[in-house]
Amino acid sequence: MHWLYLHLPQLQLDHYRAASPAATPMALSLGTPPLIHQACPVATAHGIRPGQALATAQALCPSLQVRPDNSDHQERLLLQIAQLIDQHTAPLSLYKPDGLLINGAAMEKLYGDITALRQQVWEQTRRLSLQCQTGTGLTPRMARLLARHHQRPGQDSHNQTPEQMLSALAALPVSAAQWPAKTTERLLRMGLRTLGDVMAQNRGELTRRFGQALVEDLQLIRGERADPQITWQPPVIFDQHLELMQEIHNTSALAFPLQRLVQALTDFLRLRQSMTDSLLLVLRHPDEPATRLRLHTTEAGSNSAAFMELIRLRLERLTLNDSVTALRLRATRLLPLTSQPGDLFSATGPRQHQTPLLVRLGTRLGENRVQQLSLHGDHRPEHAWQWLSIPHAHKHKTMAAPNDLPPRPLWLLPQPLPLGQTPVRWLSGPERIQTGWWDQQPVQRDYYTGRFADGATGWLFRAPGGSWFVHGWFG
Amino acid sequence: MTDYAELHAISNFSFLRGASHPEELVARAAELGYQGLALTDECSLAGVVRAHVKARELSLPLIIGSEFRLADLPGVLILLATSRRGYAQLSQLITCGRRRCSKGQYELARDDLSQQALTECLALWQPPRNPDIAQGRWLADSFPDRFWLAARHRLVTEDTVCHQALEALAGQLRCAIVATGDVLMHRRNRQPLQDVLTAIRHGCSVGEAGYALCQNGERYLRDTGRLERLFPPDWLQESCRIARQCRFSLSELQYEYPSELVPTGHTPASWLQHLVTQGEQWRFPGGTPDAIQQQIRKELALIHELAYEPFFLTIHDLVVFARSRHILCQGRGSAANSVVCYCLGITEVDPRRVNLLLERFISRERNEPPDIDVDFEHERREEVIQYIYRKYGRERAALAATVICYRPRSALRDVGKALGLDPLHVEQLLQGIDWRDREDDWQQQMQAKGLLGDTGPARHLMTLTRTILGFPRHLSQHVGGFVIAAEQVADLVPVENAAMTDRTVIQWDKDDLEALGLLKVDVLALGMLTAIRKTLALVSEIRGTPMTMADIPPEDPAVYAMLQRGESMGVFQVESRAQMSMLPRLRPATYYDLVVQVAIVRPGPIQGNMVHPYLKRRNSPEPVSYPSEAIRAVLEPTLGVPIFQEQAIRLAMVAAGFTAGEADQLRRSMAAWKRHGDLSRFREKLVSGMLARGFSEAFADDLYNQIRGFSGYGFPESHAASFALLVYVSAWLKHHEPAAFLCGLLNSQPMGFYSPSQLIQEARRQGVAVHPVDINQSQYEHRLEDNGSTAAPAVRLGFCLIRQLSRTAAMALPHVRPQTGYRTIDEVRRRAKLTTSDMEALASSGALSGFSRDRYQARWAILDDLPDLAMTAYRESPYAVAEPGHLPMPDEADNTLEDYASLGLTLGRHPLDLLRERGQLPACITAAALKDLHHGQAVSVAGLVTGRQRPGTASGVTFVTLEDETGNINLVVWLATAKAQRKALLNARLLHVRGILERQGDVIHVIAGQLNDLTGEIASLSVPSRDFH
Repeated sequence: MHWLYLHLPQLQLDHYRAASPAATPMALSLGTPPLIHQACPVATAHGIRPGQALATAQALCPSLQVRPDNSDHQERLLLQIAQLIDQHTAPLSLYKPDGLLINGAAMEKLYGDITALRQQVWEQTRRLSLQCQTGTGLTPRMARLLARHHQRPGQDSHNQTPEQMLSALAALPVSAAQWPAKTTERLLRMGLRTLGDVMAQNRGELTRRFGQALVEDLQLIRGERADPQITWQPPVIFDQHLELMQEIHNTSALAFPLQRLVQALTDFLRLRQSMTDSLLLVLRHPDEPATRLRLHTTEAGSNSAAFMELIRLRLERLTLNDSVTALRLRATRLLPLTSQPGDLFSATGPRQHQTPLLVRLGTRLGENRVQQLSLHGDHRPEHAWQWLSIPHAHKHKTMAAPNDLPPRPLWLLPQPLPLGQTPVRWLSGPERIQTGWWDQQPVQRDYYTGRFADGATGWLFRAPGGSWFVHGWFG
Repeated sequence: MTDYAELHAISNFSFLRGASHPEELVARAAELGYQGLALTDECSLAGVVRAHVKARELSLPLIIGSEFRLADLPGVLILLATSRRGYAQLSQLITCGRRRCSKGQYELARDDLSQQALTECLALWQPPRNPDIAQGRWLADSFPDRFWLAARHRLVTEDTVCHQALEALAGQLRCAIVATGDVLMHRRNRQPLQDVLTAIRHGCSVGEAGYALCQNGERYLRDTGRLERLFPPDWLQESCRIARQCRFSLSELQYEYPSELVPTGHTPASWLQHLVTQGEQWRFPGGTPDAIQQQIRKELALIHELAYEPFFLTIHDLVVFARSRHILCQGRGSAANSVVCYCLGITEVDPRRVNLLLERFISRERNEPPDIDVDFEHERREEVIQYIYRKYGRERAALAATVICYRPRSALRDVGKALGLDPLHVEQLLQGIDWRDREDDWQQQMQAKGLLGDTGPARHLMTLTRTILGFPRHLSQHVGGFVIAAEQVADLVPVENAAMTDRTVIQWDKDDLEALGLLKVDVLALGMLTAIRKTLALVSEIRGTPMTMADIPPEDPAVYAMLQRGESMGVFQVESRAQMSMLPRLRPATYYDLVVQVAIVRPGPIQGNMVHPYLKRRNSPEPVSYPSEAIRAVLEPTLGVPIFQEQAIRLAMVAAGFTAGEADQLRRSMAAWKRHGDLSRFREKLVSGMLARGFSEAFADDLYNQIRGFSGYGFPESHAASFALLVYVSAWLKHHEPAAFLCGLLNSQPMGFYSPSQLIQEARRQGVAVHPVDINQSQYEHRLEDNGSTAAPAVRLGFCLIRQLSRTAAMALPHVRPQTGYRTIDEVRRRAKLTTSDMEALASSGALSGFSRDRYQARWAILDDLPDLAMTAYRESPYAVAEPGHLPMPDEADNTLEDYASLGLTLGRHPLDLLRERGQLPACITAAALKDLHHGQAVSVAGLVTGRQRPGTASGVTFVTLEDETGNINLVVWLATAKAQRKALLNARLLHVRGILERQGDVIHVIAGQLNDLTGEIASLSVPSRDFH
């Protein structure tokens, strides 16, 4: 029973490098002030090392491209690779942030022996231009240690026989085991430099000096102790096709077959205690390319009636140019089902009413066409408010405006208009607004409130040149 | 034109609020014809001296005030000082608000206003939007007939509305309204900068700052025409009425010295005279020579004329205290090298050895305050500081501040962030910029990177950064400048808390104090004094008779001979690599040569091109010709080449006809070169002055360039003279008492240029025996082991050298050691109550070598966690039963590496020696062998990199120092070589170099050709031992 471990030391850099010319030196930075965190092979050849100050790195290699290290990005990349590998092998365990473990025993039937499996994995990573080190071991821990620390970087350490594995293991430096720094230092300063040196000591004597944990880890490495692995579950998605028996020509006739798909979706969701807030509906046509409809709700749901209503509204807007031969419904974003406390008591609360209305409007008119007004902290009148589309309006945090904002007209003209007549009475002013130098839309105006002969109260300003404009009307 | 005085203006000393320097506000106010300007920084007087100096120059009445935001009073309260007493009251209030908060904060409430007398301050209240009449009434009652409402008009709606409310309120409170500008900047065009400051304060970008920004740029100093349109005439006139009531000027401040230093029945003058007479008997036991007596009389007369007696008495008091505690100290500076100071014991510079010209040091024309810095042993300066606090109390003694200002790097970071630039982008901009170059240079370097777009916020970066440069950011503590007052410091200047606990600083820095003619006492720390005192103590112990600095015989030729060979490691001031290579060229043979030596290896003389002419004249028998007798008088001591800062100033006077006042300005500009920029405004005057006096244009140009070279870097002779004395003393000790000197240096670490490892290697090469740390021989400190009367003493390394051994453990070990010594590891642990990590540190150092096979075995034994260990009262040999473990045996290389890890040095063989033996350094020549080679020969060398520097004075050259088992190798790496091989140059800890030997007399360099990084070889040293299994 063997394990195969994949060590992917530079996932992020590999990702960036895939999109750049081959010889571009690249590195990741971390911290403030930023230090080099990781260097790609090209950069390493220039002498770039982790821990270097950016200044040193730039001095060594002026063309160095530096990106900040991003652990979220790293995790997404690892998941993507897990997904790819998972299609060919299983079961798989995730070792965040940069490793994958494959249970070779379970794959023996498929690949015969671990060499073929390894070959398969190597090909995968090569196709993705990933730097990868693999290790095979008798235990998960052994495979991981051997993959991460072998003698020839850039190649894999493949040991066929248990004897080879054990001897490779014994040659590893004690630092490879990643024991607490204090333990590693103590071992080194007693002259115990390799795992072999440590394993040669009497276990009892070791325990007395280094505690139980060290000896237990040695047992894990050697398989004298069980090391259960958590098998990674690929993310579940709902994706069902429905071939129609007859071609359908109008959208209302789609409702019935769709009902089946939606029911399947809600059953699927219920089974997984999940809900979703976005659907993809694909209508396949005999001649035309498929029609792809994306549907979003502001709040995730799992209710078939709500999904059907959403789809119905969307289809109403749709003109079919061709008949429909097949349907496909896909939901990739599965969210854990949260109990909705509003169900019982606040079913009549305003928010409950508002949301479905906005969802329906959004579905009908398009997501970005339903927007709401919000305040924005800026002295310039045209920047003091903004449109936000509904999903954003919920999340957007507006900078708290002071309570004593000066009076502003309710009706602000989209464009200031030249002033045609002179007010009969000046009510207030001047109020000078001169700001916005930083974004190329600077403003310099003296605002006045003036009443016109017809009784209207206008918000007027004088520009630096002396010309007058109306910018809004008070009620 | 209406008269107006601005009564509410803050400068950039209200950190991150005001957008103009105090000087700019003053200059603009004067230009606009204001009747006065009140500088009212928030709870601060930090900017007033700069404003005062400018206002004095422009004859603008400056009013000293401050604005406050009280915890329980809405709005802003502005207090203005009307008199000296009012000023003290204001200063006390600020001190009260600042002292109760951590650095940079303040807190005041109405109660404080009631409790602090503010009888001679005027109050202006800028009420909030909807003022509470009760609050106003309280203020009006607190400041009867001294209370106004402050109106402002920022062209925002609120202010227009407020004006009506103000009038109503004024009617109710029966007080007048005064127009104010609520000023944040001197000109409107500072608005972008003001916005940036606001954004920095809020930790966001200007785009995100929203309503925290000002709506417009109206808070500037407006011209009177505008003011007339905005305010009713009587509000404007009221400002002048108020301004006229504020009659206080900072010129009135007098420094009143503590009086307790003069016993009753004496005047300061008679007491100083008395002390000097006493000192004469001590210094000149055979009677004071006539010339010296005459000099003393002249000095005392001058001191009396300028009323400086208390200053000398204050310093004398500190020196007497230090002496009573056996703390070595030495004065330096313009006034320190006088016979008076020699008699008072402030300096050891014997006037018989140096030709002291008093006028050179104190000048009545130049009107500069006497400058005496006193250096104390660095480990014991705190005792002196505590003495000052004890003697005068915290109310009467405080440290001067250092104003920390925006420098290019910090300015770019903060402005970049405020403009919303990506921090990584800003860092990339900053990288590789050579900041030492002239100011505009770094900007060009940055532009050249091409990372700055012409559009978007980045296009403002350079302009704003340039403006914000030099803006004060916060107040820090000066290294040791104390202000000691007769009554309370806070009557003179506000006192606030420093970041360090129990330290207080005043709100002024040393330039401010100097501008007002206030004196400070500089209490500085000097490591070499510690080393000398410790060395002298060791020598005294070994010899059995006390030895002091005074017992060191002067002008010993053997000492100078040593220095001439460049053997100066550990010697004060002349041990740097640059100094070491200068010594064999300058060949100092007298005390005065040392004074020159100290001053000449400085950026000033180097950039002013003075070094080579001086060396040339020293080695040439031809007499120097001087353009005039006056110039001869100035330059003769230094063979016609100006070396010292004082000479530059005196030349300006004798050659260019500068008046004393102008020369003083020149001196200040040179000293404050960083703050004010350039000297070019003096150029015209210098050159034309010299031409008018018949000097050639070439001579004039040379001199101007020399003076410019001095700017910011010139070294004064008055300091060099004191330093040279310590150079001689330390060199004498190094030559005659090398073991004691090594021991003294090691016990005074950290100090100097060199690590203990380097010092020990050098001393061993000179024949000093050094013994390892030993559990039964070592003390906490390093000590001398007497080898009998004939043999030279040896140095025994102390426990303090062991890294990771706690201080308490290192102290306890010798303290609880049995008479017969420790016998087992367990006994060490038990008696000294050591923790496991202390024991491990001991084992690594080799100090336990008597108790176990080797360090590995010792560590293995120490870690054994026998539960009954603590309870066992005593066991003869607890480890006899423990299994020894299958541990390898450390070989020589392992031991060397462990020595370095534990002690930072080895007494065993040098790693280079080991590598050489193993054949890993083929064809490499040792440092010692280089001495026998010829100029121009090709060589291969290798060594540990102990130094790597790129001085600003040598364009593009990197100096690298390599160390091998025989000594140091000086490497010169030219710019092109460095660029081509920077990987090896920057990373290598063990460097192999192929190059060309360059020899100038005894000075040897290797000009680097090819560099190889051999760092990996060090680790490989210990690899073979792995084959032991």
